[in-house]
Amino acid sequence: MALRFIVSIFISIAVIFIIIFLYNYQVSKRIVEKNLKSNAENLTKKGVLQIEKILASVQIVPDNYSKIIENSHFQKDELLRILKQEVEINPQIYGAAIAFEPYFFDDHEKYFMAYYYRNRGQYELKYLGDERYDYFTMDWYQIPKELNRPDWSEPYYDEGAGDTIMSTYSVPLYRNMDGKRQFIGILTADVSLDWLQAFVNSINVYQTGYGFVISKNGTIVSHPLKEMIMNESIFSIAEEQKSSQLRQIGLNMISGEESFAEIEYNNVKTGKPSWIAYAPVSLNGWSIGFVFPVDELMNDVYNMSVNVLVLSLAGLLIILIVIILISRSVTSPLRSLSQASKKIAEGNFNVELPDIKTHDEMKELHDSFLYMLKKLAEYVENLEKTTSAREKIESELRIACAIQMAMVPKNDTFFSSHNDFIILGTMNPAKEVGGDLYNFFMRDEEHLVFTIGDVSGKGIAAALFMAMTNTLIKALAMNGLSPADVLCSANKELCRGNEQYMFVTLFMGILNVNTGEVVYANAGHNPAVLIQNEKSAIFMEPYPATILATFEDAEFRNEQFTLNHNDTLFMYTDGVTEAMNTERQLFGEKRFLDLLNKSRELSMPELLDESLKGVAAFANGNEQSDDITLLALRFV
Amino acid sequence: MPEMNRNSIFFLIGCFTLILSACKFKPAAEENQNANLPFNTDTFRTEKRKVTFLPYWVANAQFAGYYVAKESGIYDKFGIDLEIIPYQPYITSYDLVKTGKVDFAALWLVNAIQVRTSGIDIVNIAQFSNRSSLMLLTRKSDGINKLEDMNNKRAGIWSGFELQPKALFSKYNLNVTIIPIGSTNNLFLKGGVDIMAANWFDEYHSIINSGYNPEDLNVFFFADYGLNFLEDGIYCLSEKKKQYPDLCADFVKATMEGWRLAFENPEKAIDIVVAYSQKSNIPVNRVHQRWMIDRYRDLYFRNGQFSATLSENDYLFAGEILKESGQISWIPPFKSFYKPYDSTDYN
Repeated sequence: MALRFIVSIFISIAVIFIIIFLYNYQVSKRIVEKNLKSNAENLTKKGVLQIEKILASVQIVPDNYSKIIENSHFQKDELLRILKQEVEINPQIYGAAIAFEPYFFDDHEKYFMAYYYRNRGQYELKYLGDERYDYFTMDWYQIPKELNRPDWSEPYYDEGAGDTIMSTYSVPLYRNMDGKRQFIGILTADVSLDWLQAFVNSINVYQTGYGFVISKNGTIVSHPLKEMIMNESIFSIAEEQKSSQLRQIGLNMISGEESFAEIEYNNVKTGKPSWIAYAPVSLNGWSIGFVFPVDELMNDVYNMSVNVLVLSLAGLLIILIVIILISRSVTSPLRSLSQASKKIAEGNFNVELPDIKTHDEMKELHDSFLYMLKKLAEYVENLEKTTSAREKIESELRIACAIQMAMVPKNDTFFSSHNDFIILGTMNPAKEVGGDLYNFFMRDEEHLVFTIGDVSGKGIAAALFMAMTNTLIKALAMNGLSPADVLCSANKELCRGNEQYMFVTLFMGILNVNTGEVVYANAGHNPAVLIQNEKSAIFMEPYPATILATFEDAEFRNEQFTLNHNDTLFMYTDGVTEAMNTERQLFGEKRFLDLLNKSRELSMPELLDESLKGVAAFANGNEQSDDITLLALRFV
Repeated sequence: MPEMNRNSIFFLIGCFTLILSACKFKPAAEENQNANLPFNTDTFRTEKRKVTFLPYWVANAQFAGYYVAKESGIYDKFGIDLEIIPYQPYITSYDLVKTGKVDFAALWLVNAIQVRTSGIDIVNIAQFSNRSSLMLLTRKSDGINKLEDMNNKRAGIWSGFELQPKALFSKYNLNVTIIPIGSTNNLFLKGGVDIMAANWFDEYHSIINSGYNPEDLNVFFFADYGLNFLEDGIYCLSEKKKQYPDLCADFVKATMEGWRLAFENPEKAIDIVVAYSQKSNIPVNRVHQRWMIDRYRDLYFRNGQFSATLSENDYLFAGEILKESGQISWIPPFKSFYKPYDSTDYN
């Protein structure tokens, strides 16, 4: 579980990091691109403006002088003066020429061309134009003538001007002749392009970027690589690089389009991918371009990205460690608890639980577990204690029961040895042994002593008390005492040393087996029932006497009656009359009498049996709470 | 302000004439103080024979064979110490006579015929070009898609090179205004003319590299319209060929070997040519030179063979057109005009 937990969290975080990283990279790149674009636009437009400013300042000179020349008929000297002024007025102008159509200026001369130019700080005049220098077919002359408009020439090398690259601005001259506007010649201004190269090269485009200028034909006019200038055109470079893209850039540039650092191509200077920005110089149809080194610009983004990446990785590592620690702090107690549970299940409560220092759910779980463990241990301990206590009690009860049963005479032997009477007893101890007792024995040939009683309390103490009472009664009775005397002596004896304040109810009778005369005394016991022939069974209301073992001075009185043949004296303990059914009703004396009346014709064992059954039927499954003891005597 | 001009070629032909005239029957080297031995004498073969060659245009790959042969020591191998006279538009005849002699020159066939008929006794000793590279270019955007569309249009033709275009226009009955132009393509590029004469090996490629895509242009090869005027051949004075046949043969053989080497290893050839161009301060770029060598291979090879033979048919065809157009009054007999380098037969 821990591994799954770690891996899934780690992957989720890593994915988030990657998304953030990529987003960051893209945004940074876009910002750089955006900045670059506006930078490029500024740079390019500024460049164009600067170049056009100079070109315009050159253009205006021949433009103005051409008007003057067209509108007047100048002599040669005046023309030369104008030409000289043209060169002097603008330091950008290297030279100026005026050239006329064949035989225009002089009917005898096919060529007329005057050229004023700077030469080492001096102004010099040169006449050109002859068969070798047939200027009529030269670009500076022919193109404005054929196009009928001023024109900037393509750049050219001028060896005379010290190997500089020049461009000529030519203005066609016209004059109205015979009512027609006719072309008469050309006025020019030559510009050295040194300033253009110096200007463009002075613009720093980062470390390795650069500016360049191409002519209307795509010829490289300005470039940091000197060997490119004039030799190459943007198209020849494109062909050399086999780059249709660069060729397209060139086509766009010479057709006057502009673009700001959106096109990527391989930098001629460094061979690295670069952006190119360009804008047209509208005055002469040239185009200025700037090459922006992408790698250099992106270096910052790249460096930042690398930093972000390193930080991210470090962060991820930290997170990984934290996750592992947290997961350990979660799973390790869980694992320990799980192992502890197993040990506990095996009965070992002496397990060590993990130490939780935090105050969180894990702590709660730990505390709950600890509480459970404590309770479980306590429970088990309790269980052991109660079990042993119960076992002790149960063993006591068994002992008590054994004592009690041992005291009770065995019916069989006694029953079989006498013919004059039938005496039969039965005792059903309750679950917890009570202190019921009954006994009968022959005092001599003539007298049957019988007792039934109930000791207060339960258990061994009650059983022993019963045994003691029984033994005492028997011993006294054997001395020939009457029941009242026996009870009186026994009472005295029992009161002594009865620290537990136990007491006994006891009915004692002596039957003269020959006459049927019964002398009896009752110490607080339930009245016996007398079942006589032809008569309803009745309770024998005894002389009210107190229970044994309570009052030392208690007095008991003998009473007597005579049993006729087949009369039955039925004795019982309160377990019979106080038997309770499920509705918590007592069996009661009336029901008992009814039961006995119904069963009076039965034999002795049957009578006892039926009595027990009657009580049980009444209880209707309710648990017996007291001993049920019956003792019946029938005089035969 | 100074500018090169292709019509100086015409002027040069004049120069060439003058040079050849000036040193009639005299090997150029004889006037050279450092080597005043007759250079064809086999007994002196240990001494290099000094020879001069004049190309008809600036140093570029259209003469690659000569430059490569010189720089690779092929002329040396043939016992020739060659000086290639740099093309100079403003060299006067006087200068040329004074500073150097021209023993061999490269010329186009029609120009050579004109020189010959003007009285200079030059002979063709090797004809390299087998096909005219001359073409007319038009812009598709102008709607000039077939020859007839050229009617009433303006054509920029180098002054001095009008012969072939004129012949074409007259052959197809076209009324085309010819505007003589200089050496640049700018008038055409700026829209000043509708049609422009161009060499396949040179101007065509320059125009492509000035911002026209091939698909923007229509190309009309003169050769495709029955005007296949052969171009580059090697010429010398008839007397020289007669007197020094071995030297002529060696020069041609060495030159052909130079060309073969250039075709086999164009990049090396370009290196050599570019170095010459730079020395002369001539704008040059490699892709253009490469194009030139590639086209010269097309122009020089016939059926996979690089030969130096001039056929009588080609000669007479050019001569007839020249005569018809009034450029020449007679056609020199083929056998007197063509003296192949590898033949000693001289009558």
